[in-house]
Amino acid sequence: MLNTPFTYMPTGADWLRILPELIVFGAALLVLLADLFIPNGRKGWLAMVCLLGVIAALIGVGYLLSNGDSQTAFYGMISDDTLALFSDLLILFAVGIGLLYSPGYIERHAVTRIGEYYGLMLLAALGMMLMASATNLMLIFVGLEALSLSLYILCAIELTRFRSQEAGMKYFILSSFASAILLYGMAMLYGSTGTTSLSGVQAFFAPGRHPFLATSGYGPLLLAAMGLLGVGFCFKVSAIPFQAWTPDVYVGAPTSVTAFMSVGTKVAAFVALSRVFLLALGAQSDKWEPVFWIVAILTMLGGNLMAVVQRDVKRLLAYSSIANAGYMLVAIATNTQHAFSGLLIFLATYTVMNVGAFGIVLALERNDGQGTTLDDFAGLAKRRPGVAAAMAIILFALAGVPPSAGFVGKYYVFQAAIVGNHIDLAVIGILTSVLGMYYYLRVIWAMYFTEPRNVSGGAGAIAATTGMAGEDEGEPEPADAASGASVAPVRAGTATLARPVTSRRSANSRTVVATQAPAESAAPPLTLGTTVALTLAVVLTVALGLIPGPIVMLAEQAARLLGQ
Amino acid sequence: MLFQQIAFYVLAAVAIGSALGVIFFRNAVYCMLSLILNLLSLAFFFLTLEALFVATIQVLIYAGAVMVLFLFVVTMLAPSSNDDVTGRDRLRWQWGAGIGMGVILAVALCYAAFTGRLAADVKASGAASLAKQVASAGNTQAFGLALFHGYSFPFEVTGVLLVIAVLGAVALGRRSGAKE
Repeated sequence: MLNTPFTYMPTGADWLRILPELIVFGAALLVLLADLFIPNGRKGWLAMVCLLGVIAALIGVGYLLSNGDSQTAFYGMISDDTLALFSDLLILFAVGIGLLYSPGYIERHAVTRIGEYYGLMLLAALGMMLMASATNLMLIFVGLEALSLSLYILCAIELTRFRSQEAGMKYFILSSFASAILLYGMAMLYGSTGTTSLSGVQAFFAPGRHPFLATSGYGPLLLAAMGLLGVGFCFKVSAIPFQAWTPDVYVGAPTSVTAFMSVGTKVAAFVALSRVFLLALGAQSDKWEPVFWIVAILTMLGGNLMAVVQRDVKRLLAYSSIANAGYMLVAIATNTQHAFSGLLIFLATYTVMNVGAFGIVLALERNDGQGTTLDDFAGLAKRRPGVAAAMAIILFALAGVPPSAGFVGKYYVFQAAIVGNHIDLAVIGILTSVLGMYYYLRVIWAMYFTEPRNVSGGAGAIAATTGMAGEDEGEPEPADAASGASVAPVRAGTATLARPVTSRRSANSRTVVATQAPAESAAPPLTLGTTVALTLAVVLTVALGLIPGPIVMLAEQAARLLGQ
Repeated sequence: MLFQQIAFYVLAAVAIGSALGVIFFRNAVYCMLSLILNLLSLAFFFLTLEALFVATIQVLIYAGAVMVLFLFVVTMLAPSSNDDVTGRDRLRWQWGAGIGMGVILAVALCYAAFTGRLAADVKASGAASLAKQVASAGNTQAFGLALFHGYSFPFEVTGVLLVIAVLGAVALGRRSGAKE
């Protein structure tokens, strides 16, 4: 290389190659400034500024895609190859949908730091984009920290809701620990190869480069590096056994944030993981493939099994996202170019479906964060046919029913696994998908084929189910629910469930919403932004299933990186 | 060489002992003090590796600024020495599991370290250019040149991290008055 790290100077072309990231950063700063001038009550405009920034960044991605020169910039720190742009597209889509959800959510919940909320959404997206585009361990870590720090704060941004604070704190402590482990792994990888650049690592292991090392083995340092890197990444993608934080954080965080982070983090972490393991450490695959094989099986089995017993739909979706991480790990363990393009297709379909699914939860959630149990979904088709239909389409897709996006994603991953001699993984994946169908379809069954329970239907039954849902949070209170249910007023048309929202739980969890809870037993109607976002998610879920061609082509082009 | 070896073993003992102290002292202030000792011994490690700049930074930033901040917070919260914060009763099985996993990890690492080899000819790779630069220009200058040339971009992105941290402090730390 002509330039050494000691003389390299960035040029204008370098800045052009990070155009989408620059736009997102600029929009974030603009939002933070605009927050000072926009009076309370009109903060919805901030969402508009954010969305314009996201759209501009999407145009930037489109420009770079059409430009198609796929170069690294800033001394090999970051790349604008198709893989980076593909993940930028997914992340920008996810943050765009999350931003569309936000005004409706903020209006109803205790988010008081609105300017900071919007700024951090964009900065989290920036961190994800940097992490997914990074071609150097240093930048992968800085991007990861940017996205993690933003998400810790976003999780805890509902200052008066206990579950939100709990989610932020849990995520902060556990995730910082995982970041430290990842950084340790990076340091050891640098120690064993002498470079932080991924292409440098790849070149270090190139056949014939170090014949002596290649025959005698690379020693324990490299093994420790790969182990620590694997643990760090597996935590970030919430693979079992590093999944413990996921349900609590996804449930506790503001739902608009959950919708965005559940997909954005996965896209960024999986792309960075692929760059590090499939690409840079590809020559050492005999050492890490078996580990990912085990983790993939554990994650598929565990995620699906734990999802089956959930009674809260938001929590169910959190476990389903763990299960989906398992399917993605199948592609990592298969480790072929074909499987990698399958992983990217899966990520795209998963992004579209999951933001939609959390959007429905957001639409049904009441102000106190309750109202998302299976019982609340009972008879939804009669009360809100539109929302129920959207949810049904998305759940069918998540279950992997053929003419939908979910089927396309699973098809490409499992087919690549079979072709790549991992029939075992494909079989387990397909079997666990069948298991997954059970809990997805159970929600649909609840929406279409059960009646909403009311007081006269029997307070005892409600008490029993409430007790079961309560167990999840470690505070079953059947007696309280039963006594409350017998006196709770049922409002015609909006009586979602006779379960009292003024239960002791909201008082217990130190929220202030108790003051407004009695008046708000039903979820308010959809805002314009939520409607637009849900429509977009549903339409894309169907469209990706019917005409997967373009996204498959793009994914295959991005995966060509592995073949080089 | 002998002197270096003696220095290594003394420093290693101090570093491990103080690290254990961080975990096992009951009084939080003692924990902090042994963490300072640990960081100082790491600084001496860097010195024995002739990484003068990193050693200085280690003392200035970690043993200095960061630890002062820690001590401020700890003494401000003023924990008394008989506060039992461990809550050991509920976590007993985790102790067993943690010790078991730790032993397995230690054995595996020892096995790998004593049967495998450390990569010896790393110098052939990117580290060589760094070594050359250090030899010709000196520690601090080589670090500065790398930071502001080849690694300038991650360094700049660290500025974004600072923005996020400030936003977090404002969003979570500021009193909102009516809502509390």
